Amino acid sequence: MEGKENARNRANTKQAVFGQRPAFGEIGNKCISRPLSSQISLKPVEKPKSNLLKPLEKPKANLSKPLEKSNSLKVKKVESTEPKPDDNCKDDPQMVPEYVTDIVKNLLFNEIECAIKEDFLADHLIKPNMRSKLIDWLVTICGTFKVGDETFYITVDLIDRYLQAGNIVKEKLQLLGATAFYLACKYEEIYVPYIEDIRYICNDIYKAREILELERSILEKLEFRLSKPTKIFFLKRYSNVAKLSAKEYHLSKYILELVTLEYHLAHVRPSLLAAGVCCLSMGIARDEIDLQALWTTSMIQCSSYEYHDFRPVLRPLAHLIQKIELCKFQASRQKFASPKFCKISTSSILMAPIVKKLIVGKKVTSSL
Amino acid sequence: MQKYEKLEKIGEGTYGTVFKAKNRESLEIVALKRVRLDDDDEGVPSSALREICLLKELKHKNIVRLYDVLHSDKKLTLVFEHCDQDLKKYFDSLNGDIDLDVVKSFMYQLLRGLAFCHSHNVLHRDLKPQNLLINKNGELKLADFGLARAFGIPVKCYSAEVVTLWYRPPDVLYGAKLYTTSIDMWSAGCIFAELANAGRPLFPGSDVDDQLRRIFKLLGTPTEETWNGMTQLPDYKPFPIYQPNMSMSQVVPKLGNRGRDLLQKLLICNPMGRMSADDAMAHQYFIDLNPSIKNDRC
Ligand SMILES: Nc1ncnc2c1ncn2[C@@H]1O[C@H](COP(=O)(O)OP(=O)(O)OP(=O)(O)O)[C@@H](O)[C@H]1O
Ligand SMILES: [Mg+2]
Repeated sequence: MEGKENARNRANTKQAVFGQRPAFGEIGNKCISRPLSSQISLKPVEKPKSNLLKPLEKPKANLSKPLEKSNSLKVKKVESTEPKPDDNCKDDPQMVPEYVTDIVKNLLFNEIECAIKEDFLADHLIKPNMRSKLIDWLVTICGTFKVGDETFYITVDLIDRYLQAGNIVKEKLQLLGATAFYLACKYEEIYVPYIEDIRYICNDIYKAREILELERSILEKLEFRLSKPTKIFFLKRYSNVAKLSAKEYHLSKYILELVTLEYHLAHVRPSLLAAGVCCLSMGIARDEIDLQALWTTSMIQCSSYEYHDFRPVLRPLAHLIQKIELCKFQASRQKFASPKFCKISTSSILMAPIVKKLIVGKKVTSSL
Repeated sequence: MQKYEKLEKIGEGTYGTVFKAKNRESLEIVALKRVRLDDDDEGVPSSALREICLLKELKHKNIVRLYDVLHSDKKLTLVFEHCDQDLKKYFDSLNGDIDLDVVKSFMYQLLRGLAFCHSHNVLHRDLKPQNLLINKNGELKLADFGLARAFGIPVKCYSAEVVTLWYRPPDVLYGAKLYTTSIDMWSAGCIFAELANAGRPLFPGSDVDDQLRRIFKLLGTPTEETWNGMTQLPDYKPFPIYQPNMSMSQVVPKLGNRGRDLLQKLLICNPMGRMSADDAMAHQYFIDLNPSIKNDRC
């Protein structure tokens, strides 16, 4: 019912949105840079149920508004749906002050379940660099559909856990990526892409039936456990407590996104990675070599990690920052080169003394 | 042979039918919620997906337990623990009279289930008597997580088209999309008053305008002073300045002072001022709650 209002002429949409695109195999590092979201047909899923007692209001105009969420946000002065970390969260209901401590505690407890094992692709038909390529493509897809950060991280998590649960042929890898994205949208987003658009982003090489079959298979193998804390959840929390500036926050988000490309970090606890990324970002942006000094008591408290807990991931993180410039997976780098993110991925601060210091010494294994 | 034997239909929902059924092997009685998948070809609906995923992680005495999920290409069946009835049906059987200890016990269990959801970053967003299940032994459980969702911190904008009209808070009626746990606390307040009045709904509005008018007539029209930011809400429209025309003692005559005080703290138009589930559980009203209910942890 309401959904129809939002549906646009899809035949036209496809043309306008995607133009001619090569199949996944050749996408490589191409990045769609036009702002396209307003043209994509998505259907709203958060709609009211028919009232047992009384029919609900007709859908309001705002349901069919395009995805420009920021326009409709007038409650508080916030520029985007994702406000910058605030220094005063006590009086900010968005920070859910009465529950935030419990929530983080519960999620830290939760993340141990359904963990990714180290080297889960050993003996797998899918190789680490194929995984990196898929995730690079998904960065672009998430940008095209303008979905939230959570959706991207959930997608990656579903892919890794599904691959961990069993082998697939490489011809089905893109199908897995697209279906995981579809599921993550259904779980997280207010507007969900139509299955036709999921087919379209794969250049129509898969049938709708294949997507639905894989959807079922993912849910079955993962036992419907999609509610898992993501890296970005923890990063948002830590960066808030650390009072990162907008630029520092973009930097931390950039590094965290690079982390998803790196197979050799896929098994590390999300909260631990987020802590390492948060601390390193501060070191880079504040030109500080002594990272331990940045990890204050309040950071230890809110994250439950001491500096030495995440120290081992700092070197791989620094290597990622350096490696990304020359590797073929460029979607994140291009994304974060936009002014919206303070052009952080092309900033010279990335080669801060702390990064240089961390990358000396023996090489780090990488899938990039 | 099928694992469950259907006994009778107990509910018709928006996205499926609920049956009472018996596990043929264990003879256990369960509730089956069947979701058809062939309606559109978009696979598992978001509402069913969220209900399953969220309930998988929310294991608590005051939240209906999801035992199992049966998934075929044509339908999805959610297997729940069976409860005796929902709170609405219970109200209908009361004939206008309710034991105040039952009110207190139900309210406490509602808050405890809600506090559990909120501390696991889940918003229910559809609390109403039909979605609360009760057992003859006095247990109450939150059910129907079809509109529920997980939230991040800071919370983002979500849909304003949530919560059944009568239980929808004024901020959401005004189109607010940035809401948090306080959204459920308003509904809890409405349900509290309905419990105390043995099933008479507090704000049975006929549309959004009527709903807001009923709320403001009872509680007084909020102003920019009492509710900073109200006039900037997407669907804000001014209402006449009503002064609170009834005291809480008229609204809920049977409830004592402490109960009225709690109700007043839940029914605050400004979402920032609304009491949280944890704080409500610690309210004086529950001081004489039967200890067996209070200590009955999950
Ligand atoms: N576990 C259960 N035990 C007993 N009765 C149940 C159970 N689950 C649901 N019911 C009954 O079925 C009705 C509908 O269930 P539920 O609210 O979960 O479905 P729904 O499709 O989301 O409904 P609606 O859209 O009408 O809110 C409930 O109001 C209740 O009366
Ligand atoms: Mg219901």
